[in-house]
Amino acid sequence: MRPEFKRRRFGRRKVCPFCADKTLYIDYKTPSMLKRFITERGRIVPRRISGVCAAHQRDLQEAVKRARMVALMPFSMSGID
Amino acid sequence: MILARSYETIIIAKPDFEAESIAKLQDRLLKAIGDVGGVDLKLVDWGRRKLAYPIDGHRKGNYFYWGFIAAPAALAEVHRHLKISSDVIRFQTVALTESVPLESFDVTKEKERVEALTPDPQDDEEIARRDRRDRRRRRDDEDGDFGDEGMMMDEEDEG
Repeated sequence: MRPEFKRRRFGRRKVCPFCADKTLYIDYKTPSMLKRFITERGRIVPRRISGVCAAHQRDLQEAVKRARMVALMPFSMSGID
Repeated sequence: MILARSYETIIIAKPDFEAESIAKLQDRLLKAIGDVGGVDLKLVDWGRRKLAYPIDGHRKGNYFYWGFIAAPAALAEVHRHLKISSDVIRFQTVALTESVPLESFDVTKEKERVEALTPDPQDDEEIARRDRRDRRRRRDDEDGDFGDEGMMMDEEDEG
C-alpha cells in the first residue's frame, strides 16, 4: 500500500499586515514599525514567515535597507554587539 | 524650464558638532539650491540619537532631516558640500517624486507634507538596556577580577 504523501496544511492563512491596515505606511524613517519585520539578529524576516504580500515585502526590503544606511536600524546584532 | 525633483536628505552630524559650522554648511546648501534652481522646504533637527552601529567611532549622532526641491545640478552641489564638511559623518538622499518642471511644484503643499513629519520616537527601553550593558562592561573592565566575582556569586547562592 502506498503511504499517503498528502502535505498537511497548518492553521489559517496569514494576511499581509500592510494590506489589512491601509494606514500602516512603510517608511525607512520609522524603525519602530520596521522592527516587527526583522529578527532579533537584525535580518529581514522572510515573507513566508511574516505573511507580508510580495509587493509590500519589496517596499519593506527597500525601507529596511535605507534605514540601515542611516544607522536607524542595525545591519546585524550579535549577543555582545 | 528647469526639471526638478522633491528630495529628502538625512544628515548625521558628529554628536559634538559645532553649531557654527553646521550653520555655515546650511547657508552653503541653501545657496547651492538657490543658485542652480530649487526650493528649500524645511530643515528639521531630530536631535542626538543613538546610532544602530558605530560610524567612524561615533556611537551617537545628531540627525537632521532636510526636505527640498532641486534640479540635478543643484543636488550634485549639495552632495559636494556634504562630502566636504568634516562635521557630517553620513548622509542619504531619497528622491520622492519624478522629474517635473520646477514651476509645477505646489510648494505650500510640499511644505505642509514636510511639516507633518515627526521623527520616530527612540526606543527608550532598548537604549536604557544598552546603556546599562555598556556601564556594566566598563565596570568589569576597570575591576575585572574574576576571584572577587566568583566569591560574590557564591554568597548570592547561599542567601
